[in-house]
Formats: sequence, structure tokens, C-alpha cells
Amino acid sequence: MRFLLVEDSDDIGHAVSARLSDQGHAIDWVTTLADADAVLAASDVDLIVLDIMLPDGDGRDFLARHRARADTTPVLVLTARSQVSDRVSVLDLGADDYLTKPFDLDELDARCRALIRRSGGTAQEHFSADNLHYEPQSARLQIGDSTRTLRNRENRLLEVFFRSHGRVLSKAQLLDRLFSLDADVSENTIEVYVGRLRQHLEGSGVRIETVRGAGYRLSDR
Amino acid sequence: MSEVYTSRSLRSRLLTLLGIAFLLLALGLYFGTRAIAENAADLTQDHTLSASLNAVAEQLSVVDGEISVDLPYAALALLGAAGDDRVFYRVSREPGGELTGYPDLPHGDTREPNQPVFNTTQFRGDAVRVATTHRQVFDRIGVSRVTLSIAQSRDSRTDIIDGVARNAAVMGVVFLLCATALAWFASGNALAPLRKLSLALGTRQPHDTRALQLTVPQEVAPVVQALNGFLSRLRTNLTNTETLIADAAHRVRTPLTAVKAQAQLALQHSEDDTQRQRLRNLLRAVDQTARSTNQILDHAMVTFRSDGFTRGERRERTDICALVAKTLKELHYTAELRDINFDTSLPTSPLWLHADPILVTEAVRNVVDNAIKYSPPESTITVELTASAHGADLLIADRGCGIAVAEHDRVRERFVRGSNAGKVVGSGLGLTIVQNVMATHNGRLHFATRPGGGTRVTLHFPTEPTP
Repeated sequence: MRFLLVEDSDDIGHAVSARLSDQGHAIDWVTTLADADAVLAASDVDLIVLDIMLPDGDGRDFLARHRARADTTPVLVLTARSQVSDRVSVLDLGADDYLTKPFDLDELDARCRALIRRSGGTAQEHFSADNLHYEPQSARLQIGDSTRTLRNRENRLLEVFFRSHGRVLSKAQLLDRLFSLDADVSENTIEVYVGRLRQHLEGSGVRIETVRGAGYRLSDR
Repeated sequence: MSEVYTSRSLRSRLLTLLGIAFLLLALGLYFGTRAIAENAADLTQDHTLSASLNAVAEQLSVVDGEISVDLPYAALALLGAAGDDRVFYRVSREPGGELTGYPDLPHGDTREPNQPVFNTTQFRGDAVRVATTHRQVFDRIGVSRVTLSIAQSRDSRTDIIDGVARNAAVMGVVFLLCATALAWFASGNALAPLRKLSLALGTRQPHDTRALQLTVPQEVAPVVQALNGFLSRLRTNLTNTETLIADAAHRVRTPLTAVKAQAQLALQHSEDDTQRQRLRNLLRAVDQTARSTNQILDHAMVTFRSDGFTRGERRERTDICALVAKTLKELHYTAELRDINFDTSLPTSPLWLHADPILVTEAVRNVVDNAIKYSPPESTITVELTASAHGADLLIADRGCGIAVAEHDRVRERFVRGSNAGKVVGSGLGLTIVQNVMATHNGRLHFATRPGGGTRVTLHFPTEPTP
């Protein structure tokens, strides 16, 4: 997936693009509306993440222009204001969703996924091995003839494993990836989720193996 | 409620003053009437005595050179006829001594003939009124001075005066009672504008800073003007404070976002356990700050809009059904991150209320947000919207840690959180916001403990926000 990120704060832009790149997306990060227009003129993107307050104008004007072109590329708006009337107005102007700063990267991720899922059409990123076909975007896991939809956390955990295929991940690392929104989760929680994923992966060519004293690793059978 | 130090009430002051005045008037009336009665009785008695005296004097004659008095008993009977009064008379001459009557009846001191004088004296144990006159009579000897006195006891006069005085006393008491009663009503009526004023202030919504629109007598007008001036300053202060909070929160937000995003990224990529623990602590602190900033700003916004709503602004015909559906859709992602499902039951047709949709959204969002925060992962939150007698009831039930019954009221206060909130990030403003919105809409926020664990929060919205 190709994302256009329009954000003038270096720190936020850097963190967001790093996170979205981790998820396997290509990111065009620009800091002005003029640059954003230039990117859109030159190439197609799958999703626009748009800040509202930019040095050369208001993101809402950009949004209005974007919709006036009958461009259906989904737009996720980032806003530093929380006057609820603003939320309404960006949605009225054609934003598909919005996030109020400061947001959580996991939530940004989840919303991007949902927007891409909704816009459909585009080929989904997937992982395959043998008789296994896994689409993290839609949380669909197909093994042989049986297809199941994973729960959100199961899906995020499995995606982490697939993106680090063959690498050992400690319980603590997994915990941080999955439960940053939760206050009290122990490493036992990770064991529970790994146990579930092992059940889901039965009959496929991959498995999650325990590496004593280190953590877990996704490996081929 | 702060204590108010009161001095004696205006009404009792008025009543005391008027009461004393009325009492003096009633006493004046009594004594005045009595004096007039005494005077009238004296005049009447003197006239009667004078007439009798004249009649007797007319009967003075000189027969054969001797003075004789032929007493006209009819005239005397007139005197005796009134009640039990006794009548005494004396006719004497000078020189020559007594002619007839009671020789010990003292004569009054007359100077001119035919001019009766009156005096009051004691005679034989009774107070008597004595009328005395004298005539010059020519008889055998020459000129004699004949002095005539008629006395009448004063019993019937006393009776008359006592009767009048009794009536005057009754009239005085009746006057006192009537006047006091009238004063009671009049003072109540005169003080009614003050009661109207206190009622108008007492029934105000907490955020209502509108000027008072009361028609009051000109004496009370300065009070209302002073109050309105105060309310106007309060409104200006509120607005300034809100602007300040909003600006400050806005300035803090962007850097907070940067810190949070960078810390999250670092946490994901760090291999060092100690460093990750530090980053987690940092993230928690940032989350807490971010949450408080957001909620303070939202609280200010809610306070501001509530004020407007109470003044009658932004009342819109709102479909609470669509509003709840939209709010749940927005919070869906947050819930999904923790694998929390909504079990939603909404009416199939719109449910219309007169409300500020943004305020109501804010209330619903905060309650559902709490439910998500405190629910265990992979649990279900039940959301039920039903039409009720005079509005709509929204039930939000979770399987979280619950709120202790003893804290059901306290958690509505600012910056107060349930004692079992633990490490869950929060500002202590969420339920305050909900409570404010519900109060503004004349609705109710109700907590109940859910059988099997968790909280049942009910928001009751009336169809009309004003009773």
C-alpha cells in the first residue's frame, strides 16, 4: 500500500511514517499542502493521512479540493483541536475518519486498516506458505479449505510473527506490541494468545516454536 | 450550601413597627373616645340640671311678703328618672336661712344672678354634680338673696361613660387585630419581589449566567442590577478561562503527540528490557497527560456549550438513535483493539429529542469510553436504547471492575476517580462531563452494579430539556 502523509511536525511525521513502513506500506511524507498536491498529481496513493494545521494552509481546504476532484482515495484527518464541532466539520467536508492528537500509533494503524478495507478494490497484502494464505488487512487466515477471521489481537500478533518470520521475539517485546493500551497484562497473557495461534495454525506449514529462555519464533515445519 | 448570616426579617421588622404604631393609635382612640364621652355626659347633665334649676327658680314667689318655693316635682322627677340617680336640692336665703331642702348641701360659688355655676363634690358618700344659682327677691324685709342648688348623683353618667369606654375598647382591639392582619398581608405583598428574585436565582441551572429578566419595583432594581453586573463579569471570566484552557491544551497537544509517537516507536524497536521498561513508564505518563489535557479541554467546551444551551441556544431536534449509532461506530476501533464487542440494541425508528447533539454525543462517548477502558479484553459491552415515558433511556453495561455503591455520587465530582481504578489511565473528568450534560438537559445519570460483575450506567434523556 502507498500512503501519503501530510504532517509538518518532524517528530510526528517521522514516527508515523516509521510505524506505517513497519506495517509494510510505502510512505510519501510531505510537510506542506503544495507538496501534497504535487505527490497526488504524480502518482496514485491508497490512503491520505492529513494534518489540519499546516504551514501553507488549512488541511480542510485541501480536503475540499480533493473531494471536488471526485477523488475517492480515503482520507484520515489528524487534528490537534478537540472542539467537537471540528470533528463534525471535517467529516462533513469528506474526511473518511479523523483522529484527535495525541493519538495512539496502534489506533492510527487500526483506522488505516479499516479505511483500506472499506475502500476495497486494491489487492491485499498477504503472506503465503504451502496451503496457508494470510491477509492481515482483513484478518483472514485460510488453511487448506477452511477460512477463519482472527480476533484483533490474534491478528496483530500473527502479523508481528509473519513480519519477523524466523526471528526470535521475547514475550516482553510481544507484550509491548500488543498491549500498549492496557495497564495490567502479564506475560501469561502472551502465552494464552500464542496458544490460540498455535491452534489456528494447525495443519499448516508454519508453526510458532518456543525458544527456551528467549521467547517465540515463527518457523516452517 | 454556604451559611448566610441573617438579621431579623424585614417582615417582622415592619410588623413590629406597625404593631407599635397601631397599639398607640388604638390607645389614643380609646382614651379620646372616653374623654369625649365624659365631656358629652357632663354637658348633658349640666343642661338638665340647669333646666331643672330654672324651673325651680321660676317657682320662687313672694306671697304675702313671704318667699315661698313651690317645688315643681316634675322637673325634679326628670333628674331622678335617669337610672338610679339621686337628686338633692337646697333653697336658702340671705339673710334668713334655709327655705327648703338639704341644708348641708353646699352651694356653689355664684357671682351673677341667673348664671348657674356647676361643680362636682362629695355629698353623703356620693359624688354629685351641683348646679347653683341665685336670685334677688324683694320681700317684706327688702332685697334678699335666694340661692338655689340642685345636685344629682353621677351614677348614670358613670354608666354611660363606662358603656362608651367598653365599646371604644372593643373597637380599639378590633382595629388593632384588623390593622395587624392587613399589615401582615401588605408586608408579605411588598416583599414578594424579593421572593421572586430569590426563586429566580434558586431555580437557575449551574451554568446559567444570563442576566436576570425580572420586572421588579424600583426599590429592588439596584439589587437586580448589581446581580446582573456580577453575572456579566462571571460570564466574561468563564469565557476568558475557557479560551485560556483551550489555547493551552492546543499548544500542549502537538508536542505530546510527538513524544508519544516517538516513545511508542522506540518501544517497538528497543531490544533492551530496562530501556523498554523506562519507555513504558514514559508512555504511561504521556498517556495520562494527554488524557487529562483532552478531558480538560472537553470539559471547558461542555461547560461553555451548556451555558449556551441553558440560554436557549443550540437546541436541535436530535435523533438520539442515530447519534448513539454514530458514536459507537467512532469508538468501534478503540474497542476492537482490545477485542471488545458491542451488543447493541437500538429502536428501529428515530427517537427525537430536543437537545444539543454535540453535548449528548460527548456524554455518550465518555460513558462508552469508560466501559471500553475498564472492561477486560474480549468482553462484551451491552448498549440498549429504549423509548421511555418522557424521553429515552440509554443503558451501557460493561464487565469492568464496577463502581462501589458508596462512590456513585462522588465519582461525578471533578477529578474524582473510583478507588478501584488502579492503573487505568484517566483524568477524573469523564463522569463530570456526563453529569454536566445530563444536568443541562434536565436528564439523569444513574449507576447500578451489574449482577455477575461490572457497571450498568443509565442515561435518561427527557424529550424536552426544560420541565
